[in-house]
Amino acid sequence: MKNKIEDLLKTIISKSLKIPKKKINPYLKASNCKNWDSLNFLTLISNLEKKFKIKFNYKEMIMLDSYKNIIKVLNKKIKK
Amino acid sequence: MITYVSHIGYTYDWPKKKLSLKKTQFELYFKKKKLINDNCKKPFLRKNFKFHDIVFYKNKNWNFGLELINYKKNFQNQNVNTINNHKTANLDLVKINKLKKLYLNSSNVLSDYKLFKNMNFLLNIKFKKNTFYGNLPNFKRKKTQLVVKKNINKTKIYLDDLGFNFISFFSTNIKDDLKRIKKKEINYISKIFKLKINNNILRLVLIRTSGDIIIELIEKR
Repeated sequence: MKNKIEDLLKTIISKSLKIPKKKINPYLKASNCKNWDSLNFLTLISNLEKKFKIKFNYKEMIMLDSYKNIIKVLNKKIKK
Repeated sequence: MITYVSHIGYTYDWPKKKLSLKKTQFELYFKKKKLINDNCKKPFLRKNFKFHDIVFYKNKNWNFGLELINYKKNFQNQNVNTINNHKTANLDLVKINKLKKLYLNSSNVLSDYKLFKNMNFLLNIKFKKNTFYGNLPNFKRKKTQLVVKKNINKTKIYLDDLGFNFISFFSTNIKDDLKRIKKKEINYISKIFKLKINNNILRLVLIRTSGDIIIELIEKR
């Protein structure tokens, strides 16, 4: 289950931020990824909401600034 | 939901003056010539121009964009908004390279304060003596303050006035945000229109607040 979520997440990040899936690792952050700009970030949020059938609130959204934090927020949302 | 600030819009007469990017961290993101002015923009223009050109810059210090717009026949009306307290008709990228504060003017500060607070346009928003201020939300969590002051001149700003005219925010769903905005005091809301830029299809809407601040919402499709 955990691996499935991470694999889907990597696909979504790769598509939204236009970076190869190979380059997506737990250390990926907005601050170290050139393509993680505000426009691509908007695509990332929309794609996460669509694929995982969830809605982020504002507090959750501002947390989504790294791969690790996305996993954290997603796990909480999916458990609910 | 409003996510972050996308850019600020700045009308500039660039054929006469070439901009130098030296000693700045501005870098060109894209240029577009002869973009058609959608009919929805008409109420926001003094004159009905058919086209406009845009040049979009990114700046690491800013964490949002600067969109320079040329309507070719700009009126010489200079607006009262300022960047770093710098009068903006004569754009000097060195003076605004490190962004400290953006200043907008409102003819109805209290109503605009309620709108900005309700829509999360500003974080840690505070109201003090005919002025409100707060941090512009951006996803790299850099703090840039926007200060909205009472407009003493009561001049109405249009997109084709020279200078810093509007502020643009990303929205995850424009229709939902418009429903919330319509419950507040607003002067005018345009119809939603589409624009294709850099292989991105964007949905846009322009809003004139009751204090005459122009806000653009952008949704990426």
